[in-house]
Formats: sequence, C-alpha cells, structure tokens
Amino acid sequence: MFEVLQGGLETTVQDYPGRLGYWNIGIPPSGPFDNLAFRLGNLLVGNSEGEAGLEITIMGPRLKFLKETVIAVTGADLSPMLNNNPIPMWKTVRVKEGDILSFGLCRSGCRAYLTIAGGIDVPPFFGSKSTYVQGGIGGFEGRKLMKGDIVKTGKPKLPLNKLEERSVKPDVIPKYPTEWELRVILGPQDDYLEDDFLVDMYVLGKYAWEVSPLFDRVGVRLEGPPHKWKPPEKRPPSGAHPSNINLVYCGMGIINVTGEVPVVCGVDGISLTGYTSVATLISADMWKLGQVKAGDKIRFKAVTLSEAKNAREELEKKITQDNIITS
Amino acid sequence: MYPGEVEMLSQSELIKRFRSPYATYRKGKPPFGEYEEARYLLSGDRYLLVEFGDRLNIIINCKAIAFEQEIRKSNIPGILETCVGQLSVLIFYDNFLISFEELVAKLKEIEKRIPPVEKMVLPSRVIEIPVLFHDRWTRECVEDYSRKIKPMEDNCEIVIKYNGLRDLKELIEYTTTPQHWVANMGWMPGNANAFPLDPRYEIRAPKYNPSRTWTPPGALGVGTADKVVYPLRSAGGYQLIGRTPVKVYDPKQENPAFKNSPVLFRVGDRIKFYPITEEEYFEVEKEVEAGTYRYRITSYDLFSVQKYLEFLEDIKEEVEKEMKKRPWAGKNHV
Repeated sequence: MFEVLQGGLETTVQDYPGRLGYWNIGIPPSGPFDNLAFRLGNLLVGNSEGEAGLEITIMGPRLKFLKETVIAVTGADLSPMLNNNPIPMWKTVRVKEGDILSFGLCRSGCRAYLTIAGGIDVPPFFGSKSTYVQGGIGGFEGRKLMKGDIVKTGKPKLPLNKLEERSVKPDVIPKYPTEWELRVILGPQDDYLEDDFLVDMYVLGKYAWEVSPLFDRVGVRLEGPPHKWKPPEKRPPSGAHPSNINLVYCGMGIINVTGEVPVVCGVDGISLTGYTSVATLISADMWKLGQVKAGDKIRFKAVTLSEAKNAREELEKKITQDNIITS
Repeated sequence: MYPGEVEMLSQSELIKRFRSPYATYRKGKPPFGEYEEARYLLSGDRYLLVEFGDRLNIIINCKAIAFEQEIRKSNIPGILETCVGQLSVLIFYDNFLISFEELVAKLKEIEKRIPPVEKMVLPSRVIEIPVLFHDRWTRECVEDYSRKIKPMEDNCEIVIKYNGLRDLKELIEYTTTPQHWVANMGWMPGNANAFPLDPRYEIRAPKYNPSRTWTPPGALGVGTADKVVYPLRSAGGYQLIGRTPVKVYDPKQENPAFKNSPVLFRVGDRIKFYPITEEEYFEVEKEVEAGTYRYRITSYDLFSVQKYLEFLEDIKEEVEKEMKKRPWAGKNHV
C-alpha cells in the first residue's frame, strides 16, 4: 500500500496487454506505452509480466510506502530517489514502511515504470486494470493519481528477501536516444501520396520528423514539410482536403496524416479515422513511441511483414526470466 | 536482405516490395462505388483492412456487416477482433498464429460466401434521441474556438448555407425527419457515425481545419454526410448544431439501456433525433443524472435491404429534384 503525496504530471495504473476486445466500440487497449520496460519491471519484482504497475510521465510523483515491499523502476531515467538518495534503475529495491519515492530531472526517455511485488490492487474494468483517462475507466477511479490517494498493492508471489538484488541483464536494457528510427509497414492509405515523397519519408527514412510539444498517450504529433499528394485523378477519392477519406477503422500505431500534420497514434489512440494513414508502426516498435518527447527526431523506415514478425520475436525473447539476474 | 540492398532498388521496386500485393486500385477515374473484388490492405503487422468500395452507401456497408458476421462464424484461429467500418472491415490478428498471406487466402474464401446483400434482413433497433438545436453550450464552444484558434461562423449558419437551406427551422426539419443508419462505431468509446436513410434529407458539412481541442459531451455534429453525438469531452472536427442531454457512453452501466454494453449504439441501429426545448433539456438532464431516464428504444424492428432499395427507387425523382438545390451536388467528396 502507498500514499500519493504528489501526483506528478501523469501517473496512471496500467497493465499489459490492456483492455483488448473493445476496439470495435471505440475503447482502446491502453496499457503501458513502453511495454518492454514495463514487462521487464514486473519480472524483476517476481510478478507476471502483465501485472498492474504505474506509468510515470516526465515529472514523477512523490509516493510514501505504507508497508514494506520490493519495487523496481524501469524505463525513462527520471532520476528516481528513495528518501532523497538516488536509487538504481532496472534493479529491485527493498523499501520500508514510511520510505518516500520521488523523482527528479528527466535525463532520458519520457516514461518510467514503477512495478511493485504483488502488483497494484485496483478492480479490473472489462478485464483490465489499465487506466484510460479520457474514457474515465480502469486504474484508480478511471483517472491519473492525485495527492491523497491511497493505493493498495497485491500479495507478493515470492518472499521479499528472494526478490532482492535482482537486475536486468545490461545488454537487454534499452537505450532512449533523442533520435529514433521507427520501423513501419506501408499503408493502408499509402497510395494517396506521390511515390517519391512516400519513398523518401516513409520507406528510406531520409527525413527526420520533429516531435511537437503536443504528444500524449493518444498520439504524437510531428512537425515537418507538407505532404505531397497525388492529383485527384490518380488517387482514391478524398474530401475537401486530399487527406480526408471515408471513415475506416485503423490499427494501433498508425501514422495518421490530418490535413498536413502526421500524428502517430499511441496506446490510448483512436480506433477510427477520416484521414489517411500512410504507414503503421510495427508492433515491436510501439514501445519506442512511448519514450519519445518534444524535440526528439523520428525517421520512418519500411520493413516487410516477415521482418516485422522477426522483430516481434526478438522483442518477446528479451522479456524472459533468463534476462533477470541475481547478484 | 543484405545491408544496402534496399538502397539499390528503384522507386517502383521499393514500393512493390513494401506495399500490399492485394491493394491494386482499379484503373480509371475514382470513385467506383462497390468494387468487384475487395482490396486487402496492410494496416501494420497485425491488422488487415478489407475494403469493399470507395463511396458511402448502404449496400457496401451491409456487405461489410455480412462479411464480418461470416468471419465470426468461421472461427479462424489467430483472429483476435473484427471491426465494421463504413465500407470496410478491420481484422486484428496474431501474426505468430497466422500470416497475412494465410489470412488473406481464408478471407478471400469467405468473401465469396457473402450472401447477397439485397436479401439481408437485419435486426435493427430504432433509438430516439432528444436534441436541443442551436444550444448555448455548443455555441459557446464555437465562440471559444473563434477566439482562440481561428474565426468561425455560427455552425448552424454554416450548415444552413452549405446545404442551401432556408433557416434553422429547415435545418431542424432535415435533421429530425429521417432515421439515421449507424454504419460504424469507433473513434471514441460510444461514438457512432450515422447517415440519413432518406437521401432527400442528406445534408453535408465541411470538417474543421484545424480540429477543435474540445467539444461538449452530447454535442450533435455534422461532417461529410454523417451525424455523430460526441460521447465525451473530446477533440472533434464536425460542425456543431445541437446537444442532447442523454448519454451515449456510460462506463458505470447504471441505466438499464447500458446493461449489456457501456455504449448505447451498435452498427445497424437507426437513430431518430427529435427536437426539444431548453426547458425539456434540463428536465431530461435531471432524469439522466438521477438514473431514472428511460431511453426510447424500439428493439424488435427488422430492416429489410430489399424493401429499402424499393423505397429508394420510389423516391428517385424526388431525390434528384432535391439534390439540384444542394450547392455541393456533383462536387468531389467522400
């Protein structure tokens, strides 16, 4: 159990893979935006990889533990501290009753994850504990954490002393640069763009788009040159603007070009769009989008379906007990 | 693939390599309406989009509905979820269990089995939604946009002019006379896109550019030929012409109308808007908050595509006459 002394910018309860199966009524899966760091964090503290933990964005919360437990902080480096002393990341930390966890400067990435032995005990909504803030569902009362909240935790699976001194193998710990290369599958509406523009921007990654200050779990807006659209007689039908199309359902991670602005949709993203989606992130790179922030640069490189499948296999291979070591 | 191989390929080879082989768009001048064969489009590594046409009409929408029902019946291992769009179906699948190629092959078989749309008879509820037109809240929202983002005329005025209507009274008449067909859900929880089943009452509106940053929940929006009730305070791009005090999304599921689902509408429902006064708005709002509001839902109704097509045939001349009054008639739009 812990008490929230300060909520931070956006601290929410999430679990993995989130609320699947309601996309067709407009409810997104939610879940941790960076599922790699989150799932590794859960393995560290002896939980199943999908157990509920906290997602912490840029400015972290201040939390007071009301019971002794074992925690781990993974993901972005937001300078985590216990009782004002820096603590290591990607490694379990034993905390006592009354200890205070806080965060400082954001040194790399965007989202950190706090996992706790036994997970977070909130009632599941439609099969998931993930918070979908905009829809007001899941997590802690369907909202981000605020000062005064008392959050319950579950029963640890292993005795606490067995969880001490556990860390993630160094070569598995991801890096969070400020220049990213995200792999995409072209489509579904790639044929609205002029071929040369499509190839330069979304196949070969010749241009580095800049992440705008408007980025959240719903979507990451990018800044860059205007899109080059095919003339009306050479593209499928559109509306007043070439990017306007008939409404279609879209997968997670679409690059949705709204007017001239590409928005890469995130885990709380839209399920339906009236704008062209020129390419879609591969599922193995979704976690990277959770670590980009304003000012970062993104290049898009196309891959084939088999390359995307290999990438997913590689990602899944990282998330295993073999990569958790006890020193 | 070896390093540098991609850079060696020509532009057309590159596109061929990364684009869906089933995305071929027929040569000629779009739009084509209903395709002879569906396009199978890539939507990332775990989603597949099957598109049946490029022009909104009920036949193509019903084809998508029938296709989705057939997929559900077939229980293909690896399919996790299916979603009906206006003219397409999105399939979410596990690429560890089934490949895109295998899935396309299976779906093409199913495509052949889609029963003739003309013979479809669908269970279709009629749901009545009270609307206060030209209400103070959506007007305030438009004024806020005008002040902060860019000058914007009163949205009812925009829609009246865009459609060559006389006045607000006529806009209300055009919105409340026909039933609206829910062609798809999605976007936000509880959102439903509905278009009028009687084309004589088709009204259109351009979308905002850029979109609004906020919209009051319950706002009635018009965009392209669709109408939506905004389920939540959210961004949005449709012109706002009124507001309903009733909820279309209720995650607490307290009202019996939400017993089986947190969202009110489903694909194939028909929505009938009816006008209310501000006084009535507040009364209904009170009932909604107290949990005593009873939704007006006729749940036993059936919708026969054949009968509907006959109806369209009967009113054909009137539709043509009516369309001549529309300033947008004949323009390229989706």
